[in-house]
Amino acid sequence: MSTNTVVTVPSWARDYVNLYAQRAYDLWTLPALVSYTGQIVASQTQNEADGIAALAVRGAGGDAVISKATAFILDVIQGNRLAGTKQEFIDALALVTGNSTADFASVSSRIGKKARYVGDPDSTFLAQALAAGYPATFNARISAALYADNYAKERVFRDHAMAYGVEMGKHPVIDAETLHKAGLVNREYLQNSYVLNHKLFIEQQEMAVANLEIFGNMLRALTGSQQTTISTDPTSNKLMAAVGFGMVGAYVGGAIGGAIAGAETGSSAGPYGAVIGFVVGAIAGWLFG
Amino acid sequence: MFLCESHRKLFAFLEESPSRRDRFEDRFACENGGGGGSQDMVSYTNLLPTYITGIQTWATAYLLAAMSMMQSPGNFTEYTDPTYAEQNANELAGIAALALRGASGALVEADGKAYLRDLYDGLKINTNSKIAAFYAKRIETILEEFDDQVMPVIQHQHVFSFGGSDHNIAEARAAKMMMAKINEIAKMFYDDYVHERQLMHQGVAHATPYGLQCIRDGEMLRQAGAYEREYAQGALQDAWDRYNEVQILPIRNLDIAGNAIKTILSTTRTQTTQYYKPSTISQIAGFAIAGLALSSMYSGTTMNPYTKAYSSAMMGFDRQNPEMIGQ
Repeated sequence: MSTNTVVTVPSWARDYVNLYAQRAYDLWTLPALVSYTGQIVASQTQNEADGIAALAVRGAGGDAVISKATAFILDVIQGNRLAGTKQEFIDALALVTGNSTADFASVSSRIGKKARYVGDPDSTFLAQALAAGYPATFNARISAALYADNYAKERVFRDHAMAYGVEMGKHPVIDAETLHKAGLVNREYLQNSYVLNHKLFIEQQEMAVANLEIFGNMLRALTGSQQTTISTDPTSNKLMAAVGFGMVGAYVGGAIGGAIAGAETGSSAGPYGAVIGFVVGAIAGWLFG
Repeated sequence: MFLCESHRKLFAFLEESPSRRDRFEDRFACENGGGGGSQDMVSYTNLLPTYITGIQTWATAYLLAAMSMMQSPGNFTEYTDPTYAEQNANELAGIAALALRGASGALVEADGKAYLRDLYDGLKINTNSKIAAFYAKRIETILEEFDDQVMPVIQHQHVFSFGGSDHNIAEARAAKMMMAKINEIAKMFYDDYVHERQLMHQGVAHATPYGLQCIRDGEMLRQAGAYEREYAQGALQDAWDRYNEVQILPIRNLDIAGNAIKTILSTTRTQTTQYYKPSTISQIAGFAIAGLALSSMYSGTTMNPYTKAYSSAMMGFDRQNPEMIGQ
């Protein structure tokens, strides 16, 4: 096994790299990134709340102008005024007949003369007696005429009222839309506050990671700036090592044996030494080669 | 081949300036920086395009500049001027006026609605006081005509039967005609009724515009409030954004240096070549063989285990007494 460490940062740049790493660590542990703690959602103003409330009231309760106009048009369309039974018409008719009756009294008071000479058969106000029934008679006639005229005119009004029917019929929709909008704008406000709070929530979590990644970025930037290699050494073939070391052992053993015993021709010390050396060498080569 | 190329470039580079030689010497010094007693070879290859004169100096200046931009106060600094404009007087006055209009409505609109409500309720019918006055004058007129024209004529016609039945009957007939005329004049009350009915009917055309005013009022009031809130929300958002911007400034400054360092690191390529290292026993065996060989060389012996190279038996003389050679 061997370990080899190489710094790949040029030496002239190492101080800067150290400074950079230190700065990254300091910022991480400071911590440099802390999520925002201030107010993030503006409150609804009183005007806005009042406006929304007004819309809600209008949408829920309608408007008196609309409701009265609608009731009136409905009354006309339903033909309730054709018969002349409405109090307004009766009052108007009473004005005609009442005033006629009342003012005929002025006429009546101007007629009727006493006899100027003796023997005149009629000494009463004959003219007044004759005219006494005129108001009732004429009022009845004109009343009939006005009822008829009223009917004809109310028919025309009824026809014209049809033009407003659809328009007035839309107002419940407008009311509903108004009420809906009042609810909608409140919900939008609420939704916006949810979105902002959610954004802050996420930002708080991401801020912690971003703060951590200050150091992480530094580590990534400097990864590879030093390379430490630990490697195993190449090993030889066991059998070949045994043979090779056996031959070396035989050579060394023979020499040593020959030297010790005095190598002479025919001496067996050398061969014995060589054999022993071969065996020892082969074992050593097998184990350590 | 790689090493040759690498060194060729290095030497070419070294010829350019002593300062660069220093830097490269530093790089070579790195070979021994790892420790561990390694015998491996480490080669550094400068990847900067040296055909551009001064590129290494520029690279150094680049890193220096990046580091200075990282250090306080840094390149990115807090913006101190306003980023959210104050509302001006016109804007505020406009919002206030809108709120006032929305909250209080318009007088003309309120009066119009009151009138329409009465109109639809029929409260304008039979209320024309001028009709009664006009009627009275018309009655006055016909009575005057009656007195000045009709009655004198009747009296003249019955001057010799004044107060008689014929006279009375003639006056009664005249009264009958007066009643018809009075009825005709009194019909103006009905005509006024019909006229008011027409106005009542025509007034329905104004119902929708007036009836929607309260919605507009509510919408105006809400809008005024929304303008205020939107401004306030914008200010909060601006404060938030500025806070985040200030927060990130040191990180952005740090990243300047980080990017520069990553760039500088990429200008050098390092290659380590591992040599084969024989085992300890192999080295011992080698040294043993070498020792024996040297020993036999200097002792005059042979490594043949069967013979002694310079024994008297083999050489015919005693090696210790070379003068006996030839004896």
